[in-house]
Amino acid sequence: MDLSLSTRSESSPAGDRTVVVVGGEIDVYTAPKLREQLIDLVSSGQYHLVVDMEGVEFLDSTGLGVLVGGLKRVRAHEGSLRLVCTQERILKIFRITGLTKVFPIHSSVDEAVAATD
Amino acid sequence: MEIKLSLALPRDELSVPVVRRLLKQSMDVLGVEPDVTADIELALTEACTNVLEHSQEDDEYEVSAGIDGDQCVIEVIDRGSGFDGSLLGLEHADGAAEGGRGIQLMRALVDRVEFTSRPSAGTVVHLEKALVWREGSIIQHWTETAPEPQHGPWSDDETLKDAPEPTQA
Repeated sequence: MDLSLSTRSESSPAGDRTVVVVGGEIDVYTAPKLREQLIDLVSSGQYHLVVDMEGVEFLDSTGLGVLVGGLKRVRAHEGSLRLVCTQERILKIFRITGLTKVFPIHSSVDEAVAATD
Repeated sequence: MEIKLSLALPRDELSVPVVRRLLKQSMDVLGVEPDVTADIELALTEACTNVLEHSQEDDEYEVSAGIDGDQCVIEVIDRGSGFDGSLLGLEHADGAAEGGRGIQLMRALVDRVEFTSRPSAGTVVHLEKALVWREGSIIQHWTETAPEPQHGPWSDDETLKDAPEPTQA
């Protein structure tokens, strides 16, 4: 019933990025914590986010909603929100809901940090 | 062989990971293939989350799960004001929407989803999924070693007539 969150800054020729490392379970119980984290980052002017989901063990529609909310917030500031995920079980959830067309999904943090499109 | 779990849960957010973990543990112990377990965990989570979203009453809800050699059947029973999901989740939610994907996920992950809603009695969400077993699972062991099914004296009318009268204690 735990969600772990940590953030760090990374720089690339594309610019400064904030990497949010998420681990554990994202569901209706833990999602408010992730939502707050994303709101805090945008409030403090960090509009280019990379959410590293490699440590996520469980994700549901509430978690998807929080990520969509984060995307809307950064886009309001011309920002970006990229996901890092290679786990088939998690990718499947994005595919079922059509969100693979909404989020750029990368296979490594390095790739996501360097991405510019 | 059949395993039944029956839970009455407080209508709060913590109940969702609790029921999910209890079911996951049961399926792990019996030897359900992990990808199948993951699909059922997510469908169950969505059904329970719906209860929290669509009812305000400060009451309990119930989850029952039955696992046999072939399938897992789950019912999430909400005594709240009722909610009909039978026409929801049939297509993608708008990409910018923050909700509206739970029922779509349920439909995609299990073989059968049914909603029964009565304004006075609340809502039953019924989920069914065929099970796949890991090699060497407990279920496989039991299925291979189980004797031919026999009618016990309690399920056979003929035998019941011949059974001795119960004696008063």
